[in-house]
Amino acid sequence: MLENFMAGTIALFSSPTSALLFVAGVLGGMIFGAIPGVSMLTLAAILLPFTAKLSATDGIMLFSVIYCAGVFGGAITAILFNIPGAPENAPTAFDGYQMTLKGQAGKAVGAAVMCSAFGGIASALLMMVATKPIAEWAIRVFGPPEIFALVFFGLTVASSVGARTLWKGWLSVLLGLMIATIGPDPVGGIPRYSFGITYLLAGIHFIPTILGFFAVAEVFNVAEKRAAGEYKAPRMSLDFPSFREFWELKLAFVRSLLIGFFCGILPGIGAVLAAFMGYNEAVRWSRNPKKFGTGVLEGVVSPETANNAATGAAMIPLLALGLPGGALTAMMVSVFQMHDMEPGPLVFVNSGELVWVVFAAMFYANCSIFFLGWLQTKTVVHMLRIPFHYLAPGILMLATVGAFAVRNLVIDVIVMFVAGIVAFLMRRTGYSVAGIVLGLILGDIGEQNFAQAMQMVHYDPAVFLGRPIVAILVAGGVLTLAVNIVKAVRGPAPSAGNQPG
Amino acid sequence: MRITRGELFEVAFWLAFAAAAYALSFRFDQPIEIYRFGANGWPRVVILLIVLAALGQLLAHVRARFARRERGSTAPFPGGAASEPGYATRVAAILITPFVFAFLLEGVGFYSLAPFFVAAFLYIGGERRWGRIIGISLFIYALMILLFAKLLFVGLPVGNWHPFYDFSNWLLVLLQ
Repeated sequence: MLENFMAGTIALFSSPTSALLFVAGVLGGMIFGAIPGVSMLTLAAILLPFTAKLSATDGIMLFSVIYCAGVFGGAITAILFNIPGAPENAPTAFDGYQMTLKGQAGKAVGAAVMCSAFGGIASALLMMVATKPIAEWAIRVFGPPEIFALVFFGLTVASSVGARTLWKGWLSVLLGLMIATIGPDPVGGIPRYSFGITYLLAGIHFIPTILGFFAVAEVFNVAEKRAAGEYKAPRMSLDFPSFREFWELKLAFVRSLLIGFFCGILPGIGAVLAAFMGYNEAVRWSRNPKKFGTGVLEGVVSPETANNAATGAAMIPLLALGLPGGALTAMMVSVFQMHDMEPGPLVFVNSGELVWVVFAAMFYANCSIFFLGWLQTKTVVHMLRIPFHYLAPGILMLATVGAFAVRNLVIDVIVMFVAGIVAFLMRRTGYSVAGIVLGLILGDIGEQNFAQAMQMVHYDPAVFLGRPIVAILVAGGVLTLAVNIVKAVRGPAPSAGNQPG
Repeated sequence: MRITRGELFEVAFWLAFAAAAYALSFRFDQPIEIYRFGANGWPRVVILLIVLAALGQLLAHVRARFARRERGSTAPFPGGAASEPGYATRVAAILITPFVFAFLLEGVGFYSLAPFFVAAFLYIGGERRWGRIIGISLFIYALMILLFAKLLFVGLPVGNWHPFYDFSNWLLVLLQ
């Protein structure tokens, strides 16, 4: 393995074109990843036709590097301005932005940098060691029933995130699930809740809603506080997390790394589920779940480790089996096809050099995040010095462009502002925006896999629950639910105090 | 001590939402040959859970009221309108202005409308120095145009109405 890795490194950096593409990919991925609505997918789509002029190795390498850097890029705006650059950065905003409000922006950004880099490096190393056996195992063992069970397991803890009561937490998640049902159903394509409106026939895109729930709602929230004379500007800090703080979170890091890697392997799932599951499990395993959403370091470490850990893992089904793990890896299939190659087991046999150049590039891209990200903690954080009422219209402009850029529809901008108002009102009444977003993102994945699962097991619950992984996940989810309900019914009456979110 | 009207309204809202969603689900209840639960199976399960959670929330409100009665507390929940003058007007303006901007976007276009929206939002946000309002508006506008129109080639609305459409296209040609 080491020999192959060194060969890949030499091949990567000995060619000036490859080295230049590597640097451009890292910088481009980080910059585009930070711009909500535009994101690394836009950059990849722009570059896709041009990869025909590049060698297959350079083309795939470029995309893999953009993937690593892009997944990290959106974390910075998520933490500083509550604007996740992409859906996989949404969980980072839950606690990351609260840390900014507490004057710990530098610490949050520093944690995101370190965990993204280390999570991605660990994932790249695992990828190098175990691509083929892991791919074969994942495909054999994990199917739609297991993926649905995983989503169910993840949603059961969602009610704990940021709401005043368990019931408000659940209502938030269920609202997200309902919003996700708008549009065609995943089996028959029958339009649901479309009211004959063309826009709703395709469903509500999650990018404008996420921009509305986070960025727009936050602008409204702060502007309202200023109008009420209650706003206090966050104190700026450049503190980097200490080694001790990281050491205390070592279990969270390892857990999120494994979750991210595992979610990344599953075809069609990728970094989004990884980030949400990483955050959810951090809440579930915490001794004090209520602290999440108030600005805790673990709330940044968990999703950022998981989403970058998924990047390396997403290459496994692509390279070993030809199955894309997400939108970007789906574009990589196009790059293969443009060069008359078919991703799958033969790639290892016929194009071993390509595989190891990609592995090396992803490893070094994650190392680059570490250094470039450190630089960002010393520079970008200074943007917090700008008074918020000057930043607010800029944030709204950025969000407007992000929402419009998705499908070139003005109605997406309107939907974004509607989502902003809904989130603004819900936060004031103790509901959880995090829960809505969780339901929205996981609803589609859950329903699709549930439908496929039911068809696979011929609607027999015994067969469904007879699958070991399904049984464990469903039992775990039901247990979590039962414990939470018993605590809510028996426990002390909820106080009238404020809740985060 | 009874639960407040606000709390009752909250629960009633969720129950009404669930009822409406359930009634509307009959519009897509046609069977799907290959899938027993049809298009409305999943939404109806979610609706049922909403009803249960809303009733759970009602229970939580009732328990909270009993607990406060036992503690002898008569203080209302915190919150209430702020005492700053013009608060309600300002909040209404904050929430409505983006919608006005969004509705005008199709006709007027981003390139013509954006600087005015930024200026309006700065004014609503409390900035009264016109030099700053104009300066910051132009700065944000220039940044957006350079980044998205010039560097990234992200298409933005150019507007449908006569003078604004011409202006947008003139600006785009100038940027090239």
